[in-house]
Amino acid sequence: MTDFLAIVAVGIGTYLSRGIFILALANKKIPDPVLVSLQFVAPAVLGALIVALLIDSDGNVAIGIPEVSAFLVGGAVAYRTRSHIFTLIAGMGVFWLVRALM
Amino acid sequence: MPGAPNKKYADLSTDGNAANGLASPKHADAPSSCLLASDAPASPKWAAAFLLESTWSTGRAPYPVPLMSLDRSIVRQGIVDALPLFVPAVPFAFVIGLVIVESGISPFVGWSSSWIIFGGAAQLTLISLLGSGAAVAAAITAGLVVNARHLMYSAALAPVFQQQPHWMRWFGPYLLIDQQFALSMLRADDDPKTFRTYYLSSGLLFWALWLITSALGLVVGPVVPEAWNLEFAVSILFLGLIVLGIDRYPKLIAALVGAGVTYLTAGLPNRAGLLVGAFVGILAGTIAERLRE
Repeated sequence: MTDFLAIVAVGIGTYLSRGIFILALANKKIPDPVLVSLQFVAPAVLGALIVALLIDSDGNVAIGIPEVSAFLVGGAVAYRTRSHIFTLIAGMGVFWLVRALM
Repeated sequence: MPGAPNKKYADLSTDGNAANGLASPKHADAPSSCLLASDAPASPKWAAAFLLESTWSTGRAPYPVPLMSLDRSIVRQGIVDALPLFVPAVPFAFVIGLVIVESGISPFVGWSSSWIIFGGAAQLTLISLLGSGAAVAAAITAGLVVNARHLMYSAALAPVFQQQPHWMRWFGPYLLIDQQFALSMLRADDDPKTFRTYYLSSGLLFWALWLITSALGLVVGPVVPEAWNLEFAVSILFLGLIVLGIDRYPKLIAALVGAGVTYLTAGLPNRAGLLVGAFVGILAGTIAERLRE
């Protein structure tokens, strides 16, 4: 039930973020400084999330050689191919391979 | 909008105006106040369209039904444009299904996020964090912060949507995912009816494919051995999103600082370090942008 309510909460917030200017604030403009900062929301949050998702229950970041190798190769493949599918295949492939070798 | 009592008719007439193909360029570009019923006599042509539309809609449907007069070529165009853009979303939808299974959240509840939230990064964030034992409030906040970028889309499309009927202004934002924004901005100069047909065709296609692919991930999820650590795929996908989104170095700085600060604050309870990292990352990106200018 908590999970469902959390999903609904994010759903409502997401809808509002998509609709607020269309529905209510069509004549309002986002102030320029806010607009500049909004562009950095995605990279900053995603960067933070990558690390946060690796935090274990003791509060340590469980990042080892397999993860770092996967990030390096995955990042390079993403940069070269601009493809999420190839990035996923390369990243997970290296992750499994390095883990198996260690 | 002025003339509140006429609001419903104004919306009907906006629809009828375009639906009957009688919209002159002047009216297609007119501010919404010109489309109020009280302004009708200003243009006989437009008034005729309005009357036609109102008899049509009272005769067959209580509300304008755009599907009755669909322009098939525009529908096809919306679908053809949307399909290749969905391909990059497939791994996200699939991994969402897998992560739901691993998180221990009830499969149906987890899958519901696909139509309640309808946003891959926020769904992955919320479900992964809920499954990893983060505080619910922190998970919700993180999900919302991930989706804050939609504010930009909403502001950019607001002028285009002012020419749309009421129901479309309410329903349209629900479909406003990243790809949908990219496609619809290219169509911003279309007449309202064409824009709407195109927007709904591509948006509803994305929506249907999203629900189906995330359900497929859910079906495959239990078959995948836990030893594969598939939840790591989320991190890889997010890395891909960062790399593909970087068009200048302040964004790289935002990502690196966000990751670095989260690493340093990892010991904070409830994964609060995530929010600290995100905030400092945004700040760092903004400062870098200032220095760049």
